[in-house]
Amino acid sequence: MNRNIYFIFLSSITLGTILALSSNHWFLIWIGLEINTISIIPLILNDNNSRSTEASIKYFIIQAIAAAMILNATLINIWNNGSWLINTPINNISNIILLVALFFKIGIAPFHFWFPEVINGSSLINGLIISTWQKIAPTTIIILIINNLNNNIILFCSILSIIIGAWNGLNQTQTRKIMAFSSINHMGWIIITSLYNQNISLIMFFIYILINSSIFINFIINNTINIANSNKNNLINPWNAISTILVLLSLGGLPPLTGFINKILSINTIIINNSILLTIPLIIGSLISLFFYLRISFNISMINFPQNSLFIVNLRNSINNNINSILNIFSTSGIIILPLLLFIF
Amino acid sequence: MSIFLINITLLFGSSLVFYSISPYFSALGLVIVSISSCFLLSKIGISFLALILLLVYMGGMLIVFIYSSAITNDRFPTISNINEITILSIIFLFWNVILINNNNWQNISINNNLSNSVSIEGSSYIFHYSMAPFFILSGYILLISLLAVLNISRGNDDSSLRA
Repeated sequence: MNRNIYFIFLSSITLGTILALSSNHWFLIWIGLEINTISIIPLILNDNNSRSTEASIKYFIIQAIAAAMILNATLINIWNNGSWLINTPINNISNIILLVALFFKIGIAPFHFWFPEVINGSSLINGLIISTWQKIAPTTIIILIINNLNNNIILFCSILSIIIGAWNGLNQTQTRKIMAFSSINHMGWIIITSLYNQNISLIMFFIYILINSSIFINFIINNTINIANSNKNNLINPWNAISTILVLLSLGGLPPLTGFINKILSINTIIINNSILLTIPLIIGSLISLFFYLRISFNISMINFPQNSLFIVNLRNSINNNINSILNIFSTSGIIILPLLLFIF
Repeated sequence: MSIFLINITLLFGSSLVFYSISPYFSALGLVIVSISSCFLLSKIGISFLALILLLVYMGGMLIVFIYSSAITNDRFPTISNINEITILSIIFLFWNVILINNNNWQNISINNNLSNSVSIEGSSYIFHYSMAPFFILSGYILLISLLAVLNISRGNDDSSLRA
């Protein structure tokens, strides 16, 4: 694609998200979401294979239906209330349909079926954009109107998505699908925490985006599309192997790493609000998802996959020669800034 | 309430126009659209316009349309997708029934004025002092849609935009 057009589409994606974040008016939110959807479709179609075409069609249909549902639900709400602002109470029908449409956009179960297929069909860079940036606008809209939404649907869908994200990721070998299911899992954690404390939910979202971007960029560097491909790091770039393992375990939520911030803040918030029984499915889902992160980590360094007899060992790599240094360091030792995050948000 | 129902039949008729494969069902949709528009106009108070609309639109233009679509030929004509249309109509009907049951019909139709049907009272403070950002953004989204569509259908010889 022409570089100028690519730049226009990239900046339109950011414009759409920022427009949807910064408006009090339902119509402008819809416009922002539509700009976002339309301008990412040519980016997905940039790779000229049929999987990308199929992924782009699925993505467009799902997001367009969700945006139409948002518009319809908000118009019914405006008809009943008389106010176009987003901080007014929402009546029952608009509540359900708006929440369902926003869950379609994020990829929360049971509306998640498009998500692994779209991420697996597009390239790793587009998968990064879809799984991190495209979730900002709908998640922030949910957090902004959380006081007017129906709590039961949020609870049910979040718990279901934590368990589905964990369970469905067990049988996957394609790393993009594993990341898609881990994304469903994490968005479940974030949405369920937003019922209790929205600032904590924003901290978790921020940490999740950084760790997820770190893993995707690690995969992009080595073109790791399945678990077998992840093993070539061991010979070519051992430093990248070590950092990928640590960031994967951080995504799983192991304690001294940054991903533990998500789990500890969420469980702390839920326990403070006396919903202790809620933490049981959360922890179970987290454990199951930790298993498939461990499986990738194990396959990176602990075994030797069959390979060609001629391979090139890079003798000149060092830990400083990595484009992903900042995100990797943050994803492994960023837990030190937890008090700062609690102060800022 | 009756204006709302007439609007529902308008929507249904226009959906029938663009969703049916055969042009005869589209013409049926146009008939439904024109008859419901006549009802709407009479409800508002301009029944003369309804009469003129029915005579000219349905009695003139639709006859010509049906005649010309009866003359044109398709090599493999598809008769109808009545199953899809039925399912869509049922979904549409359920949606409108849910809407009708969940709304407060008390204060909506007091007089039969045109200003009550199309009033946007309270909408002058939607944007705080100007509608300019709204217009600029609408223009921008149209530009982005144009660029995206031209980019997607680039290099294909069998797309709708043949340049």
